Amino acid sequence: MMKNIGYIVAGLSLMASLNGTAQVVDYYSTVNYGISVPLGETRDFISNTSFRGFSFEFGRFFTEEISVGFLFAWSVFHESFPRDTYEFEELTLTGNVYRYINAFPLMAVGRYHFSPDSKFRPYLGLASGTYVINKVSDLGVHRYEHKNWHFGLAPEAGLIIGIGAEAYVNMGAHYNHAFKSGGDTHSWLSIQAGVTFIY
Amino acid sequence: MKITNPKGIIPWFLIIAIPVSILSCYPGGPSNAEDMDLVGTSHDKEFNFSAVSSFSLPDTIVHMVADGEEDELGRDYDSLIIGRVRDQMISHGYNEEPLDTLNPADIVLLISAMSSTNSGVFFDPSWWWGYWGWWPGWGGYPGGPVWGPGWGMGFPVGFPVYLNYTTGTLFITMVDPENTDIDEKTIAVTWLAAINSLLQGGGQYTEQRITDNIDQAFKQSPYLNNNQ
Repeated sequence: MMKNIGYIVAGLSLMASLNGTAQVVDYYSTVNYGISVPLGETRDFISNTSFRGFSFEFGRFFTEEISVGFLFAWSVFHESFPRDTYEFEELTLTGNVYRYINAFPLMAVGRYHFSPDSKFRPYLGLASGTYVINKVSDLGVHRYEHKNWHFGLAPEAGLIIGIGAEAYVNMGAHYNHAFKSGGDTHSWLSIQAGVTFIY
Repeated sequence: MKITNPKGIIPWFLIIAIPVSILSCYPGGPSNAEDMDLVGTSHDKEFNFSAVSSFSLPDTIVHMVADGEEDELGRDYDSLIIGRVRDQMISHGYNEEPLDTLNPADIVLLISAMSSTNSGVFFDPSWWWGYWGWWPGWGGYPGGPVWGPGWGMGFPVGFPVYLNYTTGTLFITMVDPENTDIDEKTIAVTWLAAINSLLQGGGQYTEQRITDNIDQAFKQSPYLNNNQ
């Protein structure tokens, strides 16, 4: 996994060096609030949209168009199921079920920013790295927990809008895909809004 | 108004503020003790429950308390529990027979309870003799008088339950005393119900929970039926 991140960082650095535009040394920090819509197997487990999520990024612009950074995020999915009876192979259980997924992406992210001189700067990006995903089912006082590390990719698109000398509003969406690990594959669509500081 | 960001400190403030805000609205789970109630049942699939006609129900609930620990369970609800189990058995077509060692019933229902604040697997069948060996009703069954220390319950399936919090668990165990394994020193368990919940609440509310959960144990065990 670290090898993959290394390739991404090296590739983006190479692109930056070949770009021909003036080198810049701006750093950036971004904090976003995020809403996540579960997809695929994640949706089979919890169908509710998550309104509890955030992400933080820190990175560097190598040119005015290209940035590379690291992001950490946290999304919490939750769904309650009313009292029901569940048949297992040799056991019948009746109770309320509470399901949770805590997803923690830890990724490297590269972006291409369009219109560097404009107040409105759209971007396209790709994040790659790991997802730590903790999947929990509570039945009565009993907890069944399934925690896995996944390799994952997250293509994204967004827009930053200048609101100050260093401050931008950030709006974006990315598709998270955590590849199969421990029998689980997860995916969800995150819509994010926050602030970015370039300094 | 221009927003400035001296030394990039604003994001660091937000890094702390946003997660704290999210943590403060972390999704809630159960909102009351009833939401944590769990009723589990399991049975011996080889056993013919409709061939059983009579049962005995010792008029006591044994509290399983480990050596050196205090019994945290009261006895306020013992008669309610025993009465509800009796009513359910009768409504499912079984006849109760009083304790008679010369004419013992087909099956015996043992009701036990325990509390725990520990995590781990409970319900070790080898405990059985220590808690129920005293019952005089065993005298009528073949081999009964020779059952001794080390005897336990044999059950064809595992019944692990993992405990957290301070919970109380009520076991309703149906045994077939005529089906014993001398080598393994076990008496066959044909049906087991475990009702597990937080030790909270009280009064009318607790009575309703106990009644509902015992009813649920029978409801989710449709093979327990001798109504012709």
